[in-house]
Amino acid sequence: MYSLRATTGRDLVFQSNGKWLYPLFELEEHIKRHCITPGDIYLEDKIAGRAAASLMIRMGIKRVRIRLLSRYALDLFEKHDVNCSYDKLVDKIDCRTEDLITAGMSIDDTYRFLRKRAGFIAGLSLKIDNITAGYDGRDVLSGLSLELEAGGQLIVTGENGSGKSTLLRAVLGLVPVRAGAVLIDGKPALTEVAGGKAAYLNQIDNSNRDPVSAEEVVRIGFASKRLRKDEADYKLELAMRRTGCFDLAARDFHELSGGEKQKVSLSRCLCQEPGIFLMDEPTSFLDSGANREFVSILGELLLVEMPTIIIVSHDRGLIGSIGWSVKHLSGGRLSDD
Amino acid sequence: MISSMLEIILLPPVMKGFISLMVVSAVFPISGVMILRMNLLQMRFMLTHGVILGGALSLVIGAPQLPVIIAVNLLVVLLLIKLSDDDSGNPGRISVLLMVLTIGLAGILMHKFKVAARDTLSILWGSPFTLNVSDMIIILFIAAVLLIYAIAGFSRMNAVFFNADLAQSAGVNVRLHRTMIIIIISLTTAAAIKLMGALLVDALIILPAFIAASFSGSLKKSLINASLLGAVFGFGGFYLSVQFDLPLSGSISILGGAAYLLVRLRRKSL
Repeated sequence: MYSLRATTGRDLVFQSNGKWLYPLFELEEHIKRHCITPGDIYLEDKIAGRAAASLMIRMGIKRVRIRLLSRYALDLFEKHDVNCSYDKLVDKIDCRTEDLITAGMSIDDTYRFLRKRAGFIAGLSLKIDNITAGYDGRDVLSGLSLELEAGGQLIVTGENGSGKSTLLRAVLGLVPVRAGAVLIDGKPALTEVAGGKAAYLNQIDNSNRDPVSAEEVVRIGFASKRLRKDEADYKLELAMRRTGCFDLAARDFHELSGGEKQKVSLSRCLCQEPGIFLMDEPTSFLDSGANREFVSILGELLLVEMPTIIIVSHDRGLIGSIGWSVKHLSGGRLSDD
Repeated sequence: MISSMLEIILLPPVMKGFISLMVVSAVFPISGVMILRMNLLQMRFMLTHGVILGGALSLVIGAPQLPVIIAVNLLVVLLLIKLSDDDSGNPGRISVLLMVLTIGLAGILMHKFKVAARDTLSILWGSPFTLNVSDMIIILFIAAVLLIYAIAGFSRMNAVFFNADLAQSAGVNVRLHRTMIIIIISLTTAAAIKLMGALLVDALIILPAFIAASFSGSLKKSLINASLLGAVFGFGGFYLSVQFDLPLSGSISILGGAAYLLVRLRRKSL
């Protein structure tokens, strides 16, 4: 007897006997991979408290049967119009996770918390220790240090020419670091970058006009990996659908608008499945609509993968709308904003 | 008309030349796409001069021309890569330097060893019908290397062409692929020169890539279209050459040039 079963009509689409909330995370991945409409699923689960109910609601499941259900979970299901039947109702499921979820947490907050607790954080820690870096013998960054925990987010602001882009390029090894060290996940950054662990969303560059399709640009994200064709196609489609640009796949990248180019570039980064996203002025060529879309994609990214992200920007609108911690770069060093 | 063409093609020296020409014209434009994407036109001029040095050297030492030309070009390109590394990765300036040095050295060799300039300058024209079996094997081998790299290394090559910084951040070994691409270009240029001559090698390598880039919306399409155009120019040039007793390299060049002008006119009229 499986602890979790998902059916659509008479077809069994998924079953698992895994522990804790893992079967639900597996189901979420299965739904995505097989493009199943969550609303069509009838889900049977052994136990559901507030955590499991939040995951089911976030997946978009509308019909569930639970053998042992907590009252908190029942309230959540009713609040989100989920058709729920159960064998036994209890006040509370006795589990540490249930204790940690507070009433004030939204479904998204709970989801993020549970993914973190399940160890599904794609983010890697970043440590920049007293580095000096620059071009042609001129130090742009001098004695700069920064520490960011796995899954952390930071915005770096600064005047033009203050070295914001140089900071990102130094992490990527594109600018020689003359002194100090850059560590990703405790290892030298150069090794980790060579393994594709850091994705770079660069400023839109219009100098290269050679024809290249949007799909080819996205495929750069996994260019260094040996993937089977079906696997590569799946990753490509998933990444482009997430940013809403799959319909642009065959178009020449250079003929796209700034917003469309940014979506394609973000898909490229997603395909790379990095631990760290480094974004250089990501909204500088976007109109307000495209800007909003970018922020929403960023929110989704933080919710699902929880990567470590550094954005360098002087876009006050972006800084205000995402509410991350901000550091200011001046004189080659970072200070709190 | 077709039977007389076939009769001519079936003659052993013509057959060797025809097969080599068709392979080269269908495959070598891929290296033309590489040259354009990596902005290496200046380097290609350097390679042409390297070919003249290789030709002069082969005459001095009495060795087979094609292997010597390829070896000299490889040496020149390796020197270019080494010197470019020491010059902040700027191959443009180093190309000019090596271009001057190679042609200067060729001049000294010809003068000192009393090589008839006419013999060396025959390299400027070339002909597929003078190929021997070993030349043909070398050319087919280089075509195979180019084709295998373009297919197996497509995604990495695409990344390097699009943006070297992004390629590196995606884990692509940019330096390795740049080196491989430059070496492949040097091999194809040297091999194509035996067929087309140093002066007209662009018609076979660059022109199809140029034309394809003007109407292809992706790298993949650029490569396929350049190959198809190259094959059409190669076959068409061969046909014109046999039918009207014209030099092959000239026929291919005229065909390629006319196609390029037509595409430009069409784009202007749209």
